[in-house]
Amino acid sequence: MEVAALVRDAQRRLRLASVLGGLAAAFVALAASVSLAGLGWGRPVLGVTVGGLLGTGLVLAALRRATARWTPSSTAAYVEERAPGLDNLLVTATDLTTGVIDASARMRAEVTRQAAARIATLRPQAVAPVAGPAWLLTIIAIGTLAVIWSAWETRDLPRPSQPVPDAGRRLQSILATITPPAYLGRPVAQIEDPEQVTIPAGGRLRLEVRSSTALAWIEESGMSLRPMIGAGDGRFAVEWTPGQTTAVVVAAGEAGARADESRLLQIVVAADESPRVAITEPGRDLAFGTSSAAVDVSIDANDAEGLQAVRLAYVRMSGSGEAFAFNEGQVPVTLERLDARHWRGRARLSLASLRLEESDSVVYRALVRDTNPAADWVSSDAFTIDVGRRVEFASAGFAVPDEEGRYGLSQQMVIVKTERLQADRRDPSPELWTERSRLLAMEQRMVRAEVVFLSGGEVADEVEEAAQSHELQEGRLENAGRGEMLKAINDMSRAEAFLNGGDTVRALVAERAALVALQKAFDRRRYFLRTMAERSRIDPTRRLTGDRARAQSRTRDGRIETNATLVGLRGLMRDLADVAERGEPAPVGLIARVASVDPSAGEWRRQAARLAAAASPAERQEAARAAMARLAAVGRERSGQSAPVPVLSALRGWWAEERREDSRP
Amino acid sequence: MRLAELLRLTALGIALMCWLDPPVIIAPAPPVIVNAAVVHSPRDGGPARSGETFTIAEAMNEVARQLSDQLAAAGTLRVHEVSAGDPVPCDALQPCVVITEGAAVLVPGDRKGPLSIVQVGDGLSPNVEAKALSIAPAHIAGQATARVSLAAAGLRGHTSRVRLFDGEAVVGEASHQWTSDGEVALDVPWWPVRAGARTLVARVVTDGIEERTGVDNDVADRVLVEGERWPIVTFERRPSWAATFVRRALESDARFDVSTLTELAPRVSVSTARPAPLGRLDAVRVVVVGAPDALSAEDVNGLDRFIRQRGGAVVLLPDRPITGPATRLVQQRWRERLEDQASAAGPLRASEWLVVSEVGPMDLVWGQSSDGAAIVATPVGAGMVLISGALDAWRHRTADGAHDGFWQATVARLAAGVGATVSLDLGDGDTTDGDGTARVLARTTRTISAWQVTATRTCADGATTVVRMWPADATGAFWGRVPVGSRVDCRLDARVAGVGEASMPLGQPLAVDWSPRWTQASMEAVATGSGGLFVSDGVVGPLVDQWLRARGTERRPEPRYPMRSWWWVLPFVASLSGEWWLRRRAGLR
Repeated sequence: MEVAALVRDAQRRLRLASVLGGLAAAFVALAASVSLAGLGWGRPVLGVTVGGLLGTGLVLAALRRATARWTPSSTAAYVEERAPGLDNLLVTATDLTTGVIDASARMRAEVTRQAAARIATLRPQAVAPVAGPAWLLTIIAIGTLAVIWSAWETRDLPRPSQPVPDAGRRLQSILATITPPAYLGRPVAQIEDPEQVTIPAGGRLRLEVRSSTALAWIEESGMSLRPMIGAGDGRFAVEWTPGQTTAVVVAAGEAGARADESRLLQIVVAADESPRVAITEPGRDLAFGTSSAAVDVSIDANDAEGLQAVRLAYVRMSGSGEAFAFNEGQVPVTLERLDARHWRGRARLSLASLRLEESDSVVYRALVRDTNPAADWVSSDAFTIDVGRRVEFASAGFAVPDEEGRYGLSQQMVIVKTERLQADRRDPSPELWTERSRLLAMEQRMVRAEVVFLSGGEVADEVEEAAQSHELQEGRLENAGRGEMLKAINDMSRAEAFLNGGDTVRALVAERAALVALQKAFDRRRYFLRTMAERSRIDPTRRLTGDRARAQSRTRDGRIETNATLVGLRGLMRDLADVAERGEPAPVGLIARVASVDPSAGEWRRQAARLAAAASPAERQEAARAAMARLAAVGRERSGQSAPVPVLSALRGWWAEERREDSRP
Repeated sequence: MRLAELLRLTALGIALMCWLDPPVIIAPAPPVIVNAAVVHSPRDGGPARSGETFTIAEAMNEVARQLSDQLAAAGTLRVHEVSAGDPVPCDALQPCVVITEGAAVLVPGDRKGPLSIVQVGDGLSPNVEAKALSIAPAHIAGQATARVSLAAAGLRGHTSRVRLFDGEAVVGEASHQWTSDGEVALDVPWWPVRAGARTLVARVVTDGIEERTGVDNDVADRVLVEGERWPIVTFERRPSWAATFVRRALESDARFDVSTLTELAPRVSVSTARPAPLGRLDAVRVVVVGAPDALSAEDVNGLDRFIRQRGGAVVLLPDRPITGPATRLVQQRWRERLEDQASAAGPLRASEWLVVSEVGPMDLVWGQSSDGAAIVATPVGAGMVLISGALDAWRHRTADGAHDGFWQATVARLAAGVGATVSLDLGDGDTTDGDGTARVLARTTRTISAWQVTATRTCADGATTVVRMWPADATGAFWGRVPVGSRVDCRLDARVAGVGEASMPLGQPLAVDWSPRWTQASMEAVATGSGGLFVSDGVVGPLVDQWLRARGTERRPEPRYPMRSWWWVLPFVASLSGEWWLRRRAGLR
């Protein structure tokens, strides 16, 4: 490469690098300007404008500087610095070429030849790189664009609400201090200028207000006005225990109940969740032939706040028929505290120590209590342990079906067991076989007792009765259900007698007949009808106790019953209509009532906030109308349903009759 | 001198012809008589076109002038100034032109002649117009629905929001997104907040666009919001689950006062609130009948009078095919369908159905099962019979309360439509000229041979005026003119001897100055449908051409007397003067 070409190429690249640096500086200036505007020092448009002008100046300055600085001589000197071993030949050759210095033609040719030989391996990209400045410029440009985009995106967002005290504002700050209940062990929390406060149930809330007015108070829908106590330095405070989620309006003014400024505050009361406890092992009902077994019970308990105690309680049921006895007790539990909110426990339920006898049962369950002193014990699911020879033929510790399944399948199960017994007829021990047959007879008697109970049970709620009853498709008034039930009971009695006598063959016939009758009785054609003119129950104790002279027909008030909710909504609608008519600021109490239409819905909080924030009469009117439109929808939902059906028309009716008359032959 | 002789002969000829006065028979084309209606509206003072100061009123007068000029001697243009909503002032067979910016006039349906329309100014686009508001009677404890007709132009993609106002209270709101120009009927659910005669205003606003005019954005209507419970009777000749569960649904609704009579056995019955006998159901709005197959002939007679004369509604809830005397109340043939699985007909579900074999043209199907119409209402006389063929719907009630909700809504709508024993309606024009019309409608199950109707207007200033009532178009219907004038806080009390009475406040003008309007499409339809043309104000020439062409080829000969014109004096005098001057020039005397 020739000396002049190398120098010219390097000079161009160095000038380009200088301009790129200027551009990068311009972008930095632009980003800084937009950022300052975003911090409240102006608008984004102003930031972009100022940044753009500054950047343009920087670019022009860089262009001018690049032109002035990078002459062929300075470029050659820069290359000499970056490429050692040139021994000033490049600078000399360049100066000779550009006429900065003069020499003989032979000397000029010799210097040029040697310089060309030295730079033969040099590349302009290596001695005058442009990639670095280009990358730097790209990164800075992207960053600048991101800053501008961010400033544009957020330009319409509302500013953070009023943390800065404003001398012109009456209600300068609100400080909410939340003191959780002691049992939670949480620290006291403070929130400045909150829009919503979440407080655990039972906790105390202290609101402290800085105001330049003479009075400050709190208004809550449905509650009397709650004054705040002034400390004399513009501070007012009130403290109470919120009972439920609600919305309050913090107001300040010079005279009672006339607010100069108000703020809406949503108070969410978070109820204490009950602890959860479960018996994880064995987690099912058990049955044993003897009372010598011991059952290991595992308990798992947890609570969102903290646990206080875990128990394992049992009830022993002994006896039979009308002579049942119940004894309650507790079993010691060994606790493993994983942490304050999650415990595991183990206990051993020794049947021998409970002195269980034949046919006795134990029902046990785990109880847990959290740290809330006002909360009660919470129980797990209860499980049963049955003891007795009735279940001896099964392996010890088998799971007894749950109650629903047991009664639902019992007659079918009796048949299955009878069939098995019939198949074991060749058992070498006739005494044992007879004993098993008598045990089956006992089960059959239990099933029969259940059916008798069902057929003789009193149905108190006719709605429930109707839901369970079914109508005949043909002969709807034929009551077949009761007859089938009686037939099933008789067949079961016969089966029991056969089983007691060891006649399993005839017992099976009777059992199957009973099953068929049961199925008929329970199918959809069963029909019980007990219609009363109104939802009433007969009280036998009042029979013949009335005063006949006072007997009269029931009368009903023809006026519409007072529905407190709808009355309240209509009153709210009336007050909002006043605001919409006059365009005057909404009273603080009205704002609180709007927010309290449904305290759990953010919609009403927004409506109340919009009403409170409306500055002009037109804004107030539109806010009131929007709230009324929403209120009308709520009132409509809570009113009697209506249907868009055609309106009656007498003319239509008479015309229809004429058509019918004409069409008759 | 020949010229002088010629002039002398000319003068003599003129004199001779004038003396003879000969007639000339001609057959000219008949003149065109055109009536033009210039329709005035609240927009008259606005600019006819964007950016111009020429008002709509001026533009309409200019159009009338152009038409008159172009007709010239071929006819006559008679210009009439009318207001929007007035009848078109044209003869039935003559051509007529309506000059309007969009305000509508009333065109009689029997009009035969061509009606052309000249639209003045820019079309109203973008614009939405609230054309009509229709509100069914409502109850203070129930939901209500109003129907608003909207017409829009140039609003595609925009959403119009309709708010319903009762005074300043916003009682309902609905919105509609426009996909094309034209008209829509929008149902606006609303919540009655006050009982009595109310005036509701529907106000339409379109977001994100500035309409050409706002004068057509409001429309108003009156509605009666009832505050008393509607008397309902449920009647069962034998216990019926279907009626039991419908009765319970009605009992839980604050709009109804439900009285019940259930016969449990031949001499054992249970009743509440001493229900009216079936022969005396004047005050009752709806009778719900369970087990209609058990009705006696006497029961059916009472129900029949209730339906036909009282105009009441009867709901039949069978649980088996209807037989016996009750078949007189059934206007269709029903067949039974039993299904293994429950299916739906409207909001009701059932597995045992009665379905109509053939739905009549006057039947209203409210529930359609997979096998046919199952819930059918039939107008009978002045009333209505509703039959629910969902026999075991009570058994398939769902947790969402659809069964109860359906029956509450249905019976409420029937009760609202039946109305009170004596109802009072006021005509729309009750405040325009100081007088209003009132209509009294009395309905009773009893046969009345001599009606005694009295109506009295009472105002807050103590002035009381007896209103003369005249028999109207139906039995028990009367009308009268009620003087209102400028009085305020007046009411009209009507009393029908032996039937009942009603009362209504007077002098509540509709709150908005509303004028009917035409859309571009409706103007085209009206004009072309009558054989006329629809043109804009810049091109009225085709209108005149059409009128001239419509004169036809028929000519009627008529005599003309050309010599009776005074213009002949000029040639006569000129001829004599010329002849005298030529003679004097020639030296003659």
